[in-house]
Parts: sequence; structure tokens; C-alpha cells
Amino acid sequence: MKMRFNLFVFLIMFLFFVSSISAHQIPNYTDKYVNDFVGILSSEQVSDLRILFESVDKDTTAEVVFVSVESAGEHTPQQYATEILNEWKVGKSDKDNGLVMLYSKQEKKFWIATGYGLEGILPDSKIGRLLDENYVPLRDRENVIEGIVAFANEIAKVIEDNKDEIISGKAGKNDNFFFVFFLVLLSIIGIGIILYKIASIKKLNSKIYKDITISQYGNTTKDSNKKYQNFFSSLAFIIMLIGIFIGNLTMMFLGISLIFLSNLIPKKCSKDGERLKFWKEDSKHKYYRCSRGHILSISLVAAAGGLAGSGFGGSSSGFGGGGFGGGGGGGGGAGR
Amino acid sequence: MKAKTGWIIAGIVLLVLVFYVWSGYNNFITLDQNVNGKWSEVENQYQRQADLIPNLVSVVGSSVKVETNFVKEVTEARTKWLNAKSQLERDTAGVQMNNGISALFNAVATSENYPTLQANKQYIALTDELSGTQNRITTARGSYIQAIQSYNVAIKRFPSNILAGMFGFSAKEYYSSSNGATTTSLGSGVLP
Repeated sequence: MKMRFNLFVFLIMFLFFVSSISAHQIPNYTDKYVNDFVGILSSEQVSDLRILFESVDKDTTAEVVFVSVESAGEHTPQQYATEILNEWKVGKSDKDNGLVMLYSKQEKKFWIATGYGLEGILPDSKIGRLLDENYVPLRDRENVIEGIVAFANEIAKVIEDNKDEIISGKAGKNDNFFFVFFLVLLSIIGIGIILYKIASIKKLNSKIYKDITISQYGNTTKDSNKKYQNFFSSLAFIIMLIGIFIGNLTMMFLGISLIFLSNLIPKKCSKDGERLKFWKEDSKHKYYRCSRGHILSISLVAAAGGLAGSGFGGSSSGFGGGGFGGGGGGGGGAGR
Repeated sequence: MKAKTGWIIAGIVLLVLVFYVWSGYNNFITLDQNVNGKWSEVENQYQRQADLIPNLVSVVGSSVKVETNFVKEVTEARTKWLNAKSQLERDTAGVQMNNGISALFNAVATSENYPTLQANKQYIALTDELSGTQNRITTARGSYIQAIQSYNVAIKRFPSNILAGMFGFSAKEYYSSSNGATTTSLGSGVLP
């Protein structure tokens, strides 16, 4: 019965895991500075731009990234650039000092999207002017790439010249995230405590041992607890926690499903195994039981935590995409 | 012994319930306020547009004679915005301003009569600023709609919907393009 339950839940959670690996409309970045998806830049230009943007990052903390795509699809290039800025979270999270340079090949549009933190030194009209001065003349002579490079250099210069304004950022945006995470953690612990209590009620205990010496299993029941290390379900639990922590639903569901999978592994009370509890004694014997209570409660806690995590959390938990700093923008920018 | 365990369990269950209600309520409040916050951002951008219109009118007016209808429309829309009271009125006025501006840009861009204006640096700067603002409006609206969705999902999802009902949180309407105002598009700024 328990086998079937575990199998069932495992399959469901696995389904969630699989379905959450969805294809994104916005491509994933491959590099922090240059993502030339349609290959319009030569390798030398790519490395020049990388060096340029990297030095901007180091000197001013502003994150500039170049992206080339085949087409902006159903978006306007302006919206697409803004979406890339927000989806990849370009810019430091406390300063929102990101800038996306997007070239879309089919529409032949070059669009710049700025994060909130850069709008002060790079208002839309200034970007437009810089484009008119550096990009457009070259573009009109069929030298789009050189135009892009010329513009990139000019923008980098403007950012560097104004770096004092950029470096002072605004108050941390992550306060809310930690509060929510703390709340989730509390609820997990709370639910875990209840479930543990429930599970240690005798109904859920399993094998009964008669007259064994507890020293077979450790000196006290506490010892066998310490020895308890079901590696697999602990690992699964950690995966799930990491998934909740970084706000990655896919990982979280993977963790949960693995926890239930680990329950399918047949267990018996063993040295490294579960908690041995004294059950009862009569005139002839002492009876002990192996409790699987805490495995069940851990897996249920994991499931509860997973659900709570998906309920409280959402797709935006603030550690950025791994490459970028976690910033965003409101739609500012200009293009030609 | 059994009775005592029963009480302990009941106590813990009660604690969890209290915690659940408390955090659930706070969650609703947060989401609700978030919707308001995101709407404020939309209005901020409308205001930004309104602030740019006088510049636009003076630059356009002093350069070349433009069909007065466009200028009139834009100025009227701005007045409506400044006088609007309800959220719907403000939104309608905001969209009208936006449309008026797009129409004006379109008229100048597609006509051959205004080469001076088209080359005027101030005018170009204003077109950049205003289309940037249009994009900001689109983005702000997108965030606003998402905020409403998050809120609605939270209060409709089971079992939170019971809690939401108890506290009187009701579903919010999705944003819809203002009734009556039609939208025009100019390459660089499309309203949903």
C-alpha cells in the first residue's frame, strides 16, 4: 500500500519536473558580454567587445551585453530588448545598471534597452543622439557591424565618464526575498514537526523486533538516529531545498520526486537504518519496533515545502541568472 | 497518555492554522498592494508623456505649420489627463495621449512637407523620449497585468480561496484596452 502511494506520488512529481523544463521564448544567454546568436560579428570583434564590456563592468559595475537575434518575432525590437534585460536580469540587483544592445537581423533594427539605474546618465534622447552620431552613418553605408562597434565604444565611454553616478546604488531589493524565504522555512519546520509527531505514533511503525539488544543498533535509540543517513533521500532533500532557495521550480520538483523515489527503495531496520523504538513489554518479552516515521515525515515535509515554495515564491527570486547581477529595467532606451 | 498526546497534536495543529491564516492574509495584502504599486508606475509614465507634450507642441509649432488637428488632439488629451479623476478616466486619457502622439509622429514622418522638422535635433530628441515612454508604458502595463494575475491566482487557488473569501478579497478585473480609445501603431511603440 505504501509502495503504491510512493510510486504514485513519485510519478506525479516527476511529471511536474518534466513539464517545468519548458522552452523559453527568450534564448538563454551563453556569455555575460556578447551573445552573437546569428554570428554577425567576427571572432576578433567578439573578443574586442568582450574586453570592452568587461572593463566597463569592472570599472563601473554596469553590465552591458550585446545580443544578436534572427528576428524579434512578434515583439517589437524595443520590447524584445526590454524583455531580455528583465529576463536575464542584466545589471547589479541593487543598482539596475544594465544595458542591452540588441540587433535583430530580419528587421535590421538596433535597439538599446537601459536599466533604471542608467536612465539618469543615458536618457532615451541621448541614446538616440549617440546612435545618430555613431551607428547610423556607418549603417547607411552598409557597415552595420562597424556601426555597432563604434556605438559600443561610445556608450562605454559615456558610462565610464559618469561612473560616480552609477556606483552609488539604491537600497537593497532583496529584503522581501529573504523574508519570504524565512517564512517558507518556518512553515516547513512547523509542518515537519507535526508530521514527525504524527508519524511516530505507533500506527506508522513497521517491523517488530522481539528481545533484541539495543546495543546491536547503537547504545540508545538516539545513537541509531545519529547513524541514520539515507544518503539518497538526504541528497534529494538538499536538491529540493536548493531548488526552493534559488526559485527554480524544476529543481524543486526534481528533489521532491526523488524523495518519494527513495521511499520505494525497500528498507529494513538496520545498523545504519532507522530509529528503533521500544514498544511494549509483557511478562515474557520486550518488543521493539523500527520506525520509518522520519523518512515519511521528511518526504512529506519536502512535498509540503515544495508546495509552499511554489505558493510563496514565484519565478523571480533575486539572485540573478547566474551570470548577471539581478537587475532590471522599465523600458527605457532608443533604437534605429 | 493518549489524551495528552491528543492535546499536543491539537495544539500544534491549531498553531499551524493560525500561522497559515496569518501568512495567508499577509500574502494577499502584499499582492494587493503590488497591484496598486504597478498601476502607479503606469500612471507615472502617463505623467511623463503629459510633461513632454508642451515641449513637443512648441517644437512642432515653431518649425513648420503642421495640420492643426494633430496638435489639437494631443493638447486636448493632455488636458483630459490632468483633469481625470477615476482610474478608468486616467487610463483612457493616457491612451488618448499616446495615440495622439503616435498620430503626430506618423504624420510628420510619412509626409514630405516637413524636412526641416524631421531633421530638427530637438524634434528627434523628443521622438526618442516619447517612444521610450511608450515602451515604458507597455512594460509597466505588462507588469500591472502580471500583478493582477498573481493576485487573482492567489485568491482563487484552493484552499486559499476560502481564506480570501473570509477576508473579503475579491478578484480584480484584468486590464483591458481602454473602452472607446483605439490604438494606432508607429513602428516603435505599439500599445496592446
